[in-house]
Amino acid sequence: MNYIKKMIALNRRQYLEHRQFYGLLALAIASLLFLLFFITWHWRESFSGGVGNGIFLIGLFGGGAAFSACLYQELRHPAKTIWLLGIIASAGQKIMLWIIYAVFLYGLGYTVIFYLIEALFFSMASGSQSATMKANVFSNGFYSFYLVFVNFQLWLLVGSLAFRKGALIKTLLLMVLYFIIAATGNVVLMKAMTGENSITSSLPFNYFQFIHDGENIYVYLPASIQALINVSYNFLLPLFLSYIAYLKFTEKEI
Amino acid sequence: MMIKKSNLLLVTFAVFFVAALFTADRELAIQYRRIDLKDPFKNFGMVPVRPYKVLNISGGNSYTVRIVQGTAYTIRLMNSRKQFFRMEQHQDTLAINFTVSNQQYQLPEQCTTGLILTVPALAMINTSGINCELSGLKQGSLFITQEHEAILRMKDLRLGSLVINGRHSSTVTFRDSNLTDTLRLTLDEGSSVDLGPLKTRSILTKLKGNARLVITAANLNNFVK
Amino acid sequence: MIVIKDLTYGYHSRDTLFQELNLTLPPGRVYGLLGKNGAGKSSLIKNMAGLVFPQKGSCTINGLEARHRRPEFLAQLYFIPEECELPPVTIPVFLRIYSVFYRCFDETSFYEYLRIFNVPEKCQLHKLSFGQKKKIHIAFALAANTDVLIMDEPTNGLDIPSKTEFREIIARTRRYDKITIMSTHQVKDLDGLIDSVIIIDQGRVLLAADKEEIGQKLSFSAKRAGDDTIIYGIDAPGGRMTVSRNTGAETSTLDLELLFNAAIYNPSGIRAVFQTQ
Repeated sequence: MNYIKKMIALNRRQYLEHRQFYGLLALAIASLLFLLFFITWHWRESFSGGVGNGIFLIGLFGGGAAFSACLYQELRHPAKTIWLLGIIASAGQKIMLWIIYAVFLYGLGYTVIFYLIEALFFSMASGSQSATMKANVFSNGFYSFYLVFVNFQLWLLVGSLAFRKGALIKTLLLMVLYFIIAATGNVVLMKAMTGENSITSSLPFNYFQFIHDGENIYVYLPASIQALINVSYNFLLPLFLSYIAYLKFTEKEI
Repeated sequence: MMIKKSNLLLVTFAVFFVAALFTADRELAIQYRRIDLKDPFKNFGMVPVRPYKVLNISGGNSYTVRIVQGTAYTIRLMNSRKQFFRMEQHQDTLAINFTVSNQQYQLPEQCTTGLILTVPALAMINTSGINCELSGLKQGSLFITQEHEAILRMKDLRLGSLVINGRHSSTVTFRDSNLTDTLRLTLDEGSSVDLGPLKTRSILTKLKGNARLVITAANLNNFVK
Repeated sequence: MIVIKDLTYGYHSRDTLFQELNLTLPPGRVYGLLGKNGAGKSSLIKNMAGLVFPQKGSCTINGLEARHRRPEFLAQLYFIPEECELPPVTIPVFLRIYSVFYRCFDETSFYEYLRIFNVPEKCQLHKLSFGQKKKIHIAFALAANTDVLIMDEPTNGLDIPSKTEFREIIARTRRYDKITIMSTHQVKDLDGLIDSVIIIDQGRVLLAADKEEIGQKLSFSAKRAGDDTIIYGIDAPGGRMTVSRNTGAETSTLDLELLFNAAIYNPSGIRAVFQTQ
């Protein structure tokens, strides 16, 4: 069987064995989105504009984590892992299929579901604020969250392969821990490096903000360095994580 | 016990990550030291632009756009807004799509300024959804079109003729001292104009669809006789 | 052929289960891998299947290193673990998914084995009992026709009629040029099924020999105590059953359970006869 035929066979397996879950997850995501649209619409005076983008992100990352939990469930049971490892395909092909499902198919499927539900909801709930409440995913660089999502999903894959028990929870906790440490730790680090005590926020590899005479002042990295960081984060890191996932899979013992 | 290759690479990555973080933070510290805290535009960067007569500007309204009279055509863009800024220039028309999320937590006057344009003169301004401040222009005529809840505050204008077309609940407020010979207003779909202390010789109005025109006593007293 | 060379393996680097173990399994035989609970049977066959990695040494199947788990290696092997799981699909869908991976898969034989095992063809696999799942695995494994078939405790979870069915299927399946390894601590289940016996205990191979060789070197009979050829003996309802050195051309029927006990309780006696490590 050549590479393509094997990928097709692996895909058939992935689809046929989990199609029921995919259907249920799609339904759950659709219901959740509908509920969130309803809540933000019903209490629209309490929400400012741009809530559509927020709802989009909740579903993208929350649903993505749930999807990954299903996708990597075979790694949680030794008997299922043995079965998976024994399938006649290379480790690279198996990892590639997971990445295709977790990143691309989920990303695409979710986006389609989101826009369908949004269109359905706002066809029923129209009004003066409906335009501002709709998501605008493909403008203002918002789509860069897709790139964040790629790394998020790949970290979940690496975590699922690295931890034997409670892999998903542990990986999510580590991510949360990283963001807490990164956000607060970098403020401390920047204060130490600059001597500026009025630093209020900072994002590693991006900027920091301080207050001078009541005015917020932002300090950014030079454009060339920022571009290098963006390329590393958006393209090199996913490649690195994919390779780590591949290695973890080849090193997997039962 | 032999360390697994994947763990070795992850440890190497962690070391590299921390080293890169320190390097990036060091660079941020260098940028911080370069900031002149006395410079009123320290949060802004310059965007190159050719002279133009027509300004089309659209987008969200979280940040104020200020158009002020100057000796040259310049654009100062707030550093944090760079990713939301799109600009195109064709012949004598400058089109700016200054978009942020369409949230507005503050009163329009209290919003932070995100974009500053200096212009010697302008023939036409078309705004859409923008929270804008126009000040200092001294010229023969100016044509303004506002739509999609655009907000415009005008100050210190000296104009021969001013034409304002407003729709989609857009608002224009004249503040401080403004002077014009003729003011032509065409307002529709809930748009409003507050003339404030404007001095003018004549006002020609065409109001439709819940449009509002606010003329105060002080304003009437200021009519140029 | 399976070649295990200088295999050192342990769950932790300081605590090794196997120390420089050597074993060669030529094709065309059914091997019974016997040992007590915790003797290292599962670890040994997992090493063969590339599911765990040796600290030192190697384990190859037809020259392919197990730990690399290359597709060409996986194509030669079918491993049935002790605990079996099946996906939430029906048998036809299961076949549609997995049969394509095996070049020599025989669908007719698969359904024939299912019939012998009395497994209903129209069912959701994940809803089946443990024993039924195991039967489907065994049927699929035999139909897959891989060069090597490894079964870890194949009769665990099977009821008495199913064990009979299992024996019938294994006996009917002619895997002339292939290797079948059945690992178990339930020695009696394999009686009459195997061609070669491998007995391991505490990480050591106590015995690895064909039935013919065992028949030539050992005798299984009722003997009185005091005979210095006796390696092991046990009082049974029919008299004292013994394993003794076959000094002449004695012919006796291999009693696997007796042999196993002899190897476990008198390993030095068995090793002396077979000159194992």
